[in-house]
Order: sequence, then C-alpha cells, then structure tokens
Amino acid sequence: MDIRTEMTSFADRFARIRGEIAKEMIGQEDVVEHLLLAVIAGGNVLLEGVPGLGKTHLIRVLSKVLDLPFQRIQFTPDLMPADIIGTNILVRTEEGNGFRFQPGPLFASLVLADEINRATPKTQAALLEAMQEHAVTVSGETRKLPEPYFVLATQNPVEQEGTYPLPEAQLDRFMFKVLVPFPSLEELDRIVNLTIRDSGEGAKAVIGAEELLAMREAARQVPIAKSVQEYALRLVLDTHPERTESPEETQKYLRFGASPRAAQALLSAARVKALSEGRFNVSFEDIRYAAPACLRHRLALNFDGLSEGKDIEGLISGLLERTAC
Amino acid sequence: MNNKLKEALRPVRRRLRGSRVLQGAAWGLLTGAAMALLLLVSARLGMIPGNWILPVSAIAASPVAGMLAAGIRRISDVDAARAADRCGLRERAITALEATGDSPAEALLLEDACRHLQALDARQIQGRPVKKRLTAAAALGSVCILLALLPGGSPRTEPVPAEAVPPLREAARRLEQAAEQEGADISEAERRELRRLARDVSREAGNPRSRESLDKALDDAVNRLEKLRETLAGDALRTLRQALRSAGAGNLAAAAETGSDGETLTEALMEELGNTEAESLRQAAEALEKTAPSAAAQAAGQLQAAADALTAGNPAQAGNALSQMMQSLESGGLTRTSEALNDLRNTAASAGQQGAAGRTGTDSQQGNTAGNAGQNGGENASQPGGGAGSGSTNEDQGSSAHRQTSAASRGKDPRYKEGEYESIYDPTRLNAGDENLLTELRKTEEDGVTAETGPGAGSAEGYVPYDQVIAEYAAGAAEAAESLALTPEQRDWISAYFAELTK
Repeated sequence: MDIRTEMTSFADRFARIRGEIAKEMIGQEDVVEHLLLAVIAGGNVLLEGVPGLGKTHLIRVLSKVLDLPFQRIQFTPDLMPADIIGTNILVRTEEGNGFRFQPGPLFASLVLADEINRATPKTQAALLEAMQEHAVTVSGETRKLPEPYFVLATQNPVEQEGTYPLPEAQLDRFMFKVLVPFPSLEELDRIVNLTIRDSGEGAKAVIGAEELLAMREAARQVPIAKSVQEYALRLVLDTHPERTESPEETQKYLRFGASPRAAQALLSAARVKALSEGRFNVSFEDIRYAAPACLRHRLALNFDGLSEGKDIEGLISGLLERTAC
Repeated sequence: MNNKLKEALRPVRRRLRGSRVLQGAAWGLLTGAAMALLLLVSARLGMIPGNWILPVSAIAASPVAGMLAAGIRRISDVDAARAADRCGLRERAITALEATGDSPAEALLLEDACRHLQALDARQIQGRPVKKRLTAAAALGSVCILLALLPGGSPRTEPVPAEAVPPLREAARRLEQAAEQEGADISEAERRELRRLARDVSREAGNPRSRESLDKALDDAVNRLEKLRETLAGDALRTLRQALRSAGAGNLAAAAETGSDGETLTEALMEELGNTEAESLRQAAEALEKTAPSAAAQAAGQLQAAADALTAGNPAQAGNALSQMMQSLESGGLTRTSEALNDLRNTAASAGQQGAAGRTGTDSQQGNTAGNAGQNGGENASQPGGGAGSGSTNEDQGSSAHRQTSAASRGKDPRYKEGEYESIYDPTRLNAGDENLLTELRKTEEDGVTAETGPGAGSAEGYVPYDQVIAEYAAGAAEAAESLALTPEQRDWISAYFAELTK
C-alpha cells in the first residue's frame, strides 16, 4: 500500500482499533487513545493507576487487537536482569556441550512490565537498552528485538513501600506517562455487568505488525507548520527552570525540565493524533493534547514546589495556558 | 505557492480586509473622540481658542483616516491563512502554505486545505471585536457633547462678522500710516517698536481669528503704546529740566527736580513762576524745541506762551500755559498713533456690536474700550468717573474704574471672574474719624459691580491719585517700623521700599 493510501485510510484503521478495544475495555477512552498514539508513534508507555483499574487487561487487549507477540513480566524485588533478558544455557548437542541463548520475556513485540517499580534498579536498568535500542546484549552479543517493539509498564502510585522509584533516565525513555483514572459510575456499572455476563464478543485482531509499521511510517510523513513546531519546542523549553525566559512558576518550582527527547515524542505523538482525526497536518490542539502525557514524567518539583504542595499537572496546565500559539 | 490554495484564500483575504477596515474605523472613531475631548478641554482651559469646528472635524475625519489606513494595508497569505485556521481549519491553511506539494503527504495536505477553504463560509472570519472601542468612543463623544453644552466658560469663540472686516482693515491701515508719520525725532529703537506694534495689531485686525484674539491684540497694542509713551514722556521731562537749567531758570529747574510726576512738577513750577524771568523761559523754550523729542515740540510752544504771558504781566495765564505744557509732555507724543489705535478699537467695538445681535449685553470689546477710557481718565485725573474700584490696592484703582464702567456690559466675558471682590481701603475717607472706611465691592452677574459702602463720609466714586497718599503711607510705615522690634536693616529696607514708591 502506498503512503497516500496509508494516510487516507489511517483514521479509519485507528477508529477500528479503538472500536475493537472498546469491546473489552469499558471507558478509559483517553487512556486508550494515548496508548494507541504512543504505540503507533513507536514509544513506550508508563501507565500509572491504583490496582484494579484494568491496566494489565488493557495491554492484553491491545496485544490481541494489534496481533502482536505479547509477554507479561511481573516485576518483583527478586527479579534479576537475566530473568527478563534471557541467558545462555548449557546444552548438549551432537558436536558436544555448548551454550545456547534462551531468550527472556523481553523477546516479544509487546512487553508488559507489570508493577515496574517493584523491581530493583538493576533489573529496571536492564530494560533501558531494550526500550531505547530495541536490542539486548548478553555475554557481549547484541540481539535485536522484534519490530515493532513496545514496553508498556504499569506502576502503582499508592503502595510505595518496598518499591524502587524509576530513575529519571529510565523515565525519559517512556514516551508517555498515562494516568489511569478511576471509572465513572456509569462505566463502573458496565464493568460490573461485563464480569457477571459474558458478552460473547471479545476483541479481535484488526491489524498486524506490518500494518502497524506502515501506520507509523505514514504518521512520520505528516507535515508540521513552522509555527506549530515552534510552539511545541517553546513548550518544552518553558519547562526549564534555568532559562530566564521560562515562566515564573517553572523557575520557582521545577528542579529540571524536559529533555529534547520530550520534544521528539511530542511531535511524533501529535502527528499520529492528526492522522487519527483525518488531518494531514499537525495542529496546536494536537500538541496541547499530547503535552501533559509527554511532559509529566519528565519534570520534577524542587523543594519549594514540594513544600508548597504544587503538582506537576497544575504546572503543565499553567504552561499550556501561558504559552501562546 | 500553490495557485489553487491562493485562489481558495482570496475570499478569506477579502473578508479580512473588510474586517480590518471596520476595525480601522472603530480605532479612528475612538482616536477622534479622544482628540475632540482633548481639544475641548484645552479650549475650556484657555490653552487654545475654542471653537466647535476642530472637535467635530476630528471626530468625522479620524474614522475615515483609520479606514483608509486599514484598507491600504497589505494582507499577506500568512495573515489570511491564520484567519482561516482560526475558523476551525486547525492549522491546515498555514501548514499548506509552507508545503511544496512534492511529497504525497504534502499533496494530500494541499488538497485537504483547499477543500476546507472552499467549504469555509467567509462570514465566519471575525476580526477583533470592535464593540469595546465603539463603546469607548461613544462614551468619549458623550463627554465631548456634555463639555460643549456645559454652561459657563464655554469654549466657543465669537467669530468677527465678515462685514466688519473691511472697516477693521482700513482702520489698521490708518494705524500703520500713523505710526510711520510719527515725529522724526524719536529714536530708531522707538520707531521700530512703534512699527512692530502697528504691524502686529494690523495683522490680527486685517484677518481676525476671533473676537477674543482681536481683543487681545488690541489690548496688547494699547499696553505697548502706553509703555512707549511713558518712556517718551520721561525723556521729555528730563529734557525740560535740562533746558530750564541751561536757560538759567535755576529755580524752575530745581522745582522740576522735586516732583517725579507731571502734576507735582506743574505745581512746583507754578509756585516758582513768580521768581522767574520771562527771558529765561523763552531761552528754555528755544532749547527745548531744539533738543526735545517730538512730544516736547508742543510743550516748547506752550513754554514760549508762558514766557509771553509773564512778559505781559499775566502770571495766571502763564500758569495755565505751563500746565498745558506739562500735559503735552506727559502725553509722550505719539498722538497720531494713539488716535489711530483708538479709532481701530472703536471700529472693533462696532464690529462686536454687529456680531452680538443675538447676545444680550455681553460685548466684551465695548467693555474693554470703555474700561480703557476709564483707565486713562483715572490716571490723568481728568475724568472723575473712576473711583475706588475692584482692585486690591490703590494702584489698581485706575484700571478698576473702567471695569466698573463696563461692568454691566461685559456680562459673560470669560476674562472676568464672577464673585465677591476684595474689600479695599478707600483713601477718600481718611478724615472720616472712627467711621467704617471700607468699601465692599461685589461683582454680580445681573448688576455688574455693586458697591456697599460703610457709613463713612467719602464717596465710592472718588478718585485719589496715588501720589497724594503715598507720603502718608510711607510715614505710617516708618512710624510702625519704629514702634516694632525691627533690626536696623529691616527698617532700612522698609524705608527704601517707600522711597522707591515715592519716586
């Protein structure tokens, strides 16, 4: 399929994927939307929410709809890097004894790192190369991971005892941090009903890996006006407290700002968002839509911000209001 | 840029221009209203001559200027694209403007943008709201109207009627001629000042901007002429003293030294007349005629007449001649110019009467003219109609005379403040014992100036020349200075002050 057809059919495919996910995932439209934007743009996602909101279920459904090899890793404090990357095991062959690489659960297209903050930093670090390079190195040998490749991690914000907060470097490798909200009364009602009655219709695969890669390629072609791109870059720069041009709140309450990777992620996600709405250009709205998920895990409050009870969400909202289009 | 896109942007550009023209008009109206308000306030404060033409022109012309400025301003494709994007095109137009159409994605974008632009209803394109500006302009306009209608201190000026201009020009021409024809023996500097004076007033009278400006020019000319005449009179008196001294009329010259003003001098001269030889007077007259400025030429004749009368044994006639001589000297000459200026003022006053057909007794020119006559009368002590007037000191009494005379006629002349005037000391009641010596003068809109006198014996209309009371004032001041605990320097200062006043 040529790029023109890819682009014109993008919105339709996107809608079909969403529709299929909605069969098994009640509500959480915004979470699903962000998840799809990141997956199509080729980014990793950190889902944060209290237990029982369907984070793991959502990723399972996504793997089903996208028809991608899926692996789930439950992160625990005793999980070792070799447990997720894989290891060389001694095997007996006709030629004699030898080592054979036994791939770990990272060797899948869609990896669910459940409760990632429960693993030790050593194991969390093992994810770094996989997330960024889409490759792992074992015993000096680098092995490519299958494409497309995504790490979708979840973490629980309430049970912080015995957890290892993710280091900034690792957080930056996630394209989005998506907050999973508690469902509304109506959604909760539907969820409860779904558990006692079998709807009979589960989600089906809509596209495969090839189509997903084609969609990603189509999204990369979406043009961006200079003014829109400048707006996105200004947003990112305005998160830097060391810049004198940054807003007063940024300078006062933030410890550090977003990395250039955030700007890349913001524009990539905005491109997908534009195509998903049937547009062939990125709008200011697309940037504003993607910005909170893109920036919230890349910013950190300083002592003043913490002591005055500021939150990152509020600061990002302020930034979006203040930064002129 | 893609021609199709440019074509699609045309209605947007058209609509945007219309919107900008509307905004320009609103801005212009607001600016015009602000300017009109400024003009009206300035006129009310007397900083500029007030009339309604300028404020109305500002309000009328500014919106047109604003529309023109907005209309001729170029609307770029970027402006049009941004305006279209604001109508829900979600940056399609601005992105398409930057696209070359080379890649399939850009080609798709151009098609998409053109399709959306063609479907766009240009009426959706709204410029910046003009309602606030129009409201502000309306508010300012209302203030302007209120200010214009507010009674008292109305900034309007009275134009000089067109039919009154030719006589004014003629009178002004005569004034300039008179100034040229003044005696050849005044100094070059004085002649230049005289010409300048005539030219200045002639310029305004030849093309009067308003009655107020004409009045001002005339008043200014009168003051300048008066100053010039005082200078000349001073010169003439000095010359007379020198002439008397050189003619050997030492007693008369000594008498002439005693008084600084004409009247004192006349009295001193008449007292010494009996001790003077007629021949000395004749010689003095000759000397005066040779050396004196023009103002003294006539005085020389009168001095000669006094000598003749003395020879004929008629000291009374000689005294009269001397008195007339002093009057001639004091006038300072410049009679032609003075008469021509008076003629011009009378012409201006008639013009005022013509223009005041619809007004009721508010002719300020008439008031000024009559007032100035009163002033001259007061100073010359030849017109008893002056009297203690509205000034705060006795020095003001001369000018206060004319104010009183013209009080009824000046009506709403903005130069005169209405209200209660100060209580002044009335020197005509110096002998009234313990009686109330104050005269209350009130200025009322209906009745002009009214005087409420105390039970003293004097008349409120009496005129007391300054030099008759200054000696008494000086003595009183000296006595007071002695009785107070003052330093010798302070007493000297008071003494010097009154000595200066006495000169």
